[in-house]
Amino acid sequence: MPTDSGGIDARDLTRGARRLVEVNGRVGEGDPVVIVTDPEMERYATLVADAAQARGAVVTTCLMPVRRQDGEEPPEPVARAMAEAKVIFSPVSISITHTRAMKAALEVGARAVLMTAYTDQILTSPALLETDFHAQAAVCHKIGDAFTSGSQVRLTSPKGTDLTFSIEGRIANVLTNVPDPGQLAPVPDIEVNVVPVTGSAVGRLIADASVPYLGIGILEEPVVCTMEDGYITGMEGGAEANRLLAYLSSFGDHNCFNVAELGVGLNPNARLTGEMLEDEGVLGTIHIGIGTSFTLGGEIVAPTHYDLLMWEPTIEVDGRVIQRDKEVLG
Amino acid sequence: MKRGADVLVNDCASVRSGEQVAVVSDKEKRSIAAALLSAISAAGGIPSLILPPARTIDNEEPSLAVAAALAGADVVFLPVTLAMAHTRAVREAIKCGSRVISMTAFSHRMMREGGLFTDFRARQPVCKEMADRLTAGSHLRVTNPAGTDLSMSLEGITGNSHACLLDGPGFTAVPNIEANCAPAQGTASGRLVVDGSIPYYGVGVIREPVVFAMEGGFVRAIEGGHQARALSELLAAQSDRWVYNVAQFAFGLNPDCTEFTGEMLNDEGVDGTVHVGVGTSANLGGTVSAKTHFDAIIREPTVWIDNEIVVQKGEVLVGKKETSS
Repeated sequence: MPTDSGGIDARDLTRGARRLVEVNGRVGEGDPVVIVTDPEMERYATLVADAAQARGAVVTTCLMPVRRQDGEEPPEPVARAMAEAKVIFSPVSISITHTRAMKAALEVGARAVLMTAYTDQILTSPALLETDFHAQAAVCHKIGDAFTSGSQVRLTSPKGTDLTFSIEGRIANVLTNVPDPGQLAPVPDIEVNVVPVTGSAVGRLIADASVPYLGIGILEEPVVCTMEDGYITGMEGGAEANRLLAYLSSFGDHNCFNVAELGVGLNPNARLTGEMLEDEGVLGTIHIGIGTSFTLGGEIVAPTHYDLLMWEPTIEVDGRVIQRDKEVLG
Repeated sequence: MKRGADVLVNDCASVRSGEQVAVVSDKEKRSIAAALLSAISAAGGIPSLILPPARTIDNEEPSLAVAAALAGADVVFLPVTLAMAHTRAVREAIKCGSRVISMTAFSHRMMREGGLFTDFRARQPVCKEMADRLTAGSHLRVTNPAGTDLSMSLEGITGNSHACLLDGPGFTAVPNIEANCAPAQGTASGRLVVDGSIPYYGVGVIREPVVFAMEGGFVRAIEGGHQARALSELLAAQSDRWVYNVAQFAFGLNPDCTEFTGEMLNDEGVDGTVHVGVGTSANLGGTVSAKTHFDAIIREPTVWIDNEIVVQKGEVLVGKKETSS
């Protein structure tokens, strides 16, 4: 089992599953629902299946061995089942978000609620249980429109971040958490992201919130990154910065340091916990993704993709402030 | 159960390294499915477990997602509570090249002992020979001491040999080595007095004979005691005339299935018995798709194909050195 559920009531887990089914997946009577899971996440599959059945959905659960790495294809029978779904839920320990199987299912009209590496904490979090996902969808679109129509971004923070890059020609990824057919939603990570034009990022990032990977989590000391020509050229700070730098360097691949993403968290009830799916949605944080940008619409393929989170962002697009800390101006 | 799972995966299905293997199961049969998944991985297959939406009766169609999953598999195992063997989903999967192993209502006992551990290869020639007799024959008659006297035409039909071994696309249930066919549509007539087992719908081993009156290829009446009444009511509730279609004639040929236990695929395999299937025939070469399909097994049958006795009072004569006529 993925986490101990100290203090968490089974009824709260049920409530979380119902919310995923009813609000995020908007599952209706007779809808074909496919749940893709693995042995480590099966308890969440069962909770979601029960909630979907209670709505009168036709639920098929597919269990596969834990994938060896992010993006490994599910077995062919599972891929085929996914393509017959109206709504897909994916409580899996290793992500299948960026697979041909998922892409094919979305292309024929499925919508997907992504539940990678779910925990009891996420399933019972205010980020899931108390957020007005429909209201936040409108906020998402404001930011998304600004990115898609804009060309130059400047990111600053009171701690000293000052970073600029081009987004000319890029299309924002708008993850509203109430997906339409063909869309996916990593609930409760409400997020809008955009890929900087490769090679354009320059300046300094002071990440002071979290690095929700590699066991690092909430940062005790800021990670200071210097960026030139779209790549991180310096990384400094304490033990956490050293650990991240050592790990990235171990691949011997320059592209691990590519500035791949600006992501904006837009869930007002998400709290910083050190877990990816909740952290990246925290309103009042942005994250800079580094490494692979291909899966978000960029050109760079690297063996890794990690995110560095920062508090109190001010985001300007073409000289206009579109967000200051938690206030979205659009 | 490991030994049983190894037989199913390596001998019956011949799972090869890199093959996509789907196991369709449910809560009740999950421990058997788990044993299969381990054996599949050990054989180098790529396992997936499919848990379909709840179904209410044997051989009801599964969801489209399940059907699609089956069609995407090289090998399919069906350890399910309610049979899925006689469905369009299975038929389509076979057309797409799948090898399908039916394991309906499998028990832990069946994973450990009995029919599963017989020498399938040794029995395969007899099964093939029986299927060939069905193909070549034009008329079949079956009787038994309980009072069965049923006839049907074999004109234009093809016999199937399901010897629990799949080397290429196709279907077999395990461990019921059986040769079967769908009789010529509309030709079965007479009386079937079932004194063995009806291992469907909770009926089980027969306590008081269930008498089927058949005419023009349909069951016209079902009489007997409690079991007959329960079956009769269940079929009537389907509101589908095709659930009365005489769909199948089959020989049970597994020498290690020796007793009726109420376990479906054990009972159907009991050596020297025959069973008549009712309902869907499309998966056996017939044309009928009904809401369900069940089998009724009789003891000590004597079977004539044309004028030759192939089974005499429960003894299989085909494959022996001398064949009576």
